[in-house]
Amino acid sequence: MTTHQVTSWNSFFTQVTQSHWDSIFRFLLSLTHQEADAEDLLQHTLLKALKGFPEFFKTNYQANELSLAVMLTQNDTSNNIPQHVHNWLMKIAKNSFLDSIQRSSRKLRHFPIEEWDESEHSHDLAESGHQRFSSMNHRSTSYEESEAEFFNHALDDNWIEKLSELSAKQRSILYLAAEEYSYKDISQILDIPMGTVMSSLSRTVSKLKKLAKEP
Amino acid sequence: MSMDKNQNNRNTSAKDQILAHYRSYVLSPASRQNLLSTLNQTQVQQPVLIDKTTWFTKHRTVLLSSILSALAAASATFLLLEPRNESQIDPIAELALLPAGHKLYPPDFDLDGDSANLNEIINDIFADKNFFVSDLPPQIIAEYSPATGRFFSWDGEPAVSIEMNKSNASVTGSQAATLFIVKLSDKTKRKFPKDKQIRKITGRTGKMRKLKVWREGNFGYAMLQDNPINTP
Repeated sequence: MTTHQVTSWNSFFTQVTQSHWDSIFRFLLSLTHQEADAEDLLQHTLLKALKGFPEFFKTNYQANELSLAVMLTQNDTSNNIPQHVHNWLMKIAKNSFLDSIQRSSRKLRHFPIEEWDESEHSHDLAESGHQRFSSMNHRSTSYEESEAEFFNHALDDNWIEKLSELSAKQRSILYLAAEEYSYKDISQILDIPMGTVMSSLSRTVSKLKKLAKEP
Repeated sequence: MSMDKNQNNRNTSAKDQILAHYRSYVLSPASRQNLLSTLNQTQVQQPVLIDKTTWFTKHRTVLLSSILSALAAASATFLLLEPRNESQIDPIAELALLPAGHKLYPPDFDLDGDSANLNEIINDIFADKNFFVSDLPPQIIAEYSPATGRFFSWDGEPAVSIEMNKSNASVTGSQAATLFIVKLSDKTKRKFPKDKQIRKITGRTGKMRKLKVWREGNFGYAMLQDNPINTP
């Protein structure tokens, strides 16, 4: 990317984000489980992000002018900005998904958004802070072990059909974990506590194993 | 599950399966092109600058002209609305529309038995040596004697309302009247008598009271008389 090529926030946004579109699309697919819905939400996400792009640079990098934002991105040898932009887009994508199910639940008069806050989440929150903190290392190790165990064993044939039986949160955590996002990143993207990410992944793994064995 | 698949499963991890499944989904070139054109057509607003001093310096001319325009608009609105506002609270209309015998305010002066002082009082208010009570129409001087009065402001100029009692009230009933005298400025001379206001007053009190309005030099006069038919 060269400065003379960037003439507007639109072209700058396209250049910075285009390489992330496919992974955002797949993340949305893991949430919606419908290709067409994921495409619609991707467009919604990118439009929302484009409108907030100047503000993103102003707030995070004190770059009020387009030229300054371009220069900072060009000189970012550690690649922090593209990573930051990627996680920001993922968060917007998640929020767009939640908005869409909220809208559809209004139409359908039911509330699948509650699916996002499952009992395991409230179970995690119910734990006392001290107990939670002291057991974190142990739990983290056991979750990582069960995750590693799961990922090392191939799934039975019909596992893809069984994906639809998982919740949006479970599918998205599974996808992000397979893409090797850290627990911290998953927690930030989905806006849920790190403990919830771990426990949810562990439960998802067990559930998918069990479902995949079913005919 | 076939043998081939089992063999395959032994060499493939669940992670690879999940990744392979999701990575098989990519945006089609048409979708990508569609996204690009949508994003290019979207308008993006620049963030507001933090440096307020620079902003004010840069936009000083626009800012000053905006303030001046706002002031001009406010003044124009005030000037346009002010006469309407004034006509709505015209004391003459207000007093004329009161029921007979009703006193809105306590009097500022009482000339009962001391009517000779009227000239002095009025000269004090108007600070005008050219005003003489004797300039009032002889018929009013002959038929009425001043009782109580109140000062008020009419269009920024001093004014007085004087309750007059008819001298031969015992014969014809009380037939009280109110005489309004207002000092006119160059601006208000054009407005007095205000036809519109007079029509409004006579329209609403015509059967109850009679209103006569005239102008003499720098003074405007309004004489509001109770109609003898309606006087108890």
